[in-house]
Amino acid sequence: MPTRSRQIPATLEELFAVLTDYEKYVDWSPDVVGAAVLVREGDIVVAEFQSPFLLEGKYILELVHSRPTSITYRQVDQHESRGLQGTWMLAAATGSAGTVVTGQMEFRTDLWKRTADRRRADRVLHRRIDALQAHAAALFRRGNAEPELADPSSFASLAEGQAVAVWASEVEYRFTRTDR
Amino acid sequence: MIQRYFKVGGPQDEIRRHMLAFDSWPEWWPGVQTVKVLKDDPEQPLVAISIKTVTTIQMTLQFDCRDVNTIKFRQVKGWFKSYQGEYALMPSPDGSGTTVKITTELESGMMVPKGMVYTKLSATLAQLEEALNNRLGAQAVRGTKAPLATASRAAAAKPVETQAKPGVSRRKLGHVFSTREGLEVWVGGRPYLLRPVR
Repeated sequence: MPTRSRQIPATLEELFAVLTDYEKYVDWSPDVVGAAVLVREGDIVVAEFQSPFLLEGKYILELVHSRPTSITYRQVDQHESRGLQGTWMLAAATGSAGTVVTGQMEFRTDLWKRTADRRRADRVLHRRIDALQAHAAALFRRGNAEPELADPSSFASLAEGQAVAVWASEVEYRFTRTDR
Repeated sequence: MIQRYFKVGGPQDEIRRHMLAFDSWPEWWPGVQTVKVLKDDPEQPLVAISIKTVTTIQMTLQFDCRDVNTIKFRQVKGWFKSYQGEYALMPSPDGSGTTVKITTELESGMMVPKGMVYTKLSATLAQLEEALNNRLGAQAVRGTKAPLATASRAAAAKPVETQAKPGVSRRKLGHVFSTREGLEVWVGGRPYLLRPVR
């Protein structure tokens, strides 16, 4: 199961609050474009997400909280361990301030897509942890605010006439500095 | 066991009323062809149903409506070896509608592939969400609903992305990550790679 860890300059409680505020995932998680809580019963939450890189359409997760150290989630309405499941684990960092966040994510569709599904889950998990770090730093004003994000000024450093290309749906778009 | 959750833009009692109006199921419930109420008991009605899926399934279901928050059902005669479950109705946490939780347990028997039945039943339950919302919407258009309920339905019918209050949540249009290959830009939940043109 793809696993990624990161030390983030925030407390256990702060990160737990961010990770369990599911409707706000659209604000910081790069792959999530929709989220709504359907049921909240104590430490069990059922929420609906839209994450088009993982799955077309909406999917439902059942999330179980062990406050403030872990969140376990599993996609409901799935047959024989298919779908999305995983955990977020939080532990106080030893010897320094902050919290070590460990994410695990498993995504299974068809048997012949096992490698691609694993790669997809790892990529989403990687970016969620990157974005969580940036989001937490901005939210709690500690550490480097955007540690893994590109400096937007890299666009400004383009010489006149130089361009960056963006590919979307098989079409190449070029951002060219024109100084006009 | 099959579980499914979805949100319906209407009050709990109205949804329950539609779900227990067995005679009108063929008008809106996906796949339901005919319904005959065999025992019109308000607490434990007995209903004969035919459902069109891959084939036409005939079954007699015993409902249990004694709990105001759940409608339980159990096949007493029919196509499956066993088939039972419940519809649980709960107010949505954001107060705009009702969450429906469907739990179904079935045994299809030796000759029927379990995966196929599961896939078909899951697809039917997925259609139920839209059908129930449409049914409530159609009733509202006919003017049978109170304005308050209509307003709450309209709020719940909005796409989830637009439910955040303006000014409360500022959402990034995209996320940019530095990689060895170039800039990885996530827009609309999908990644794109940006490489400088040399």
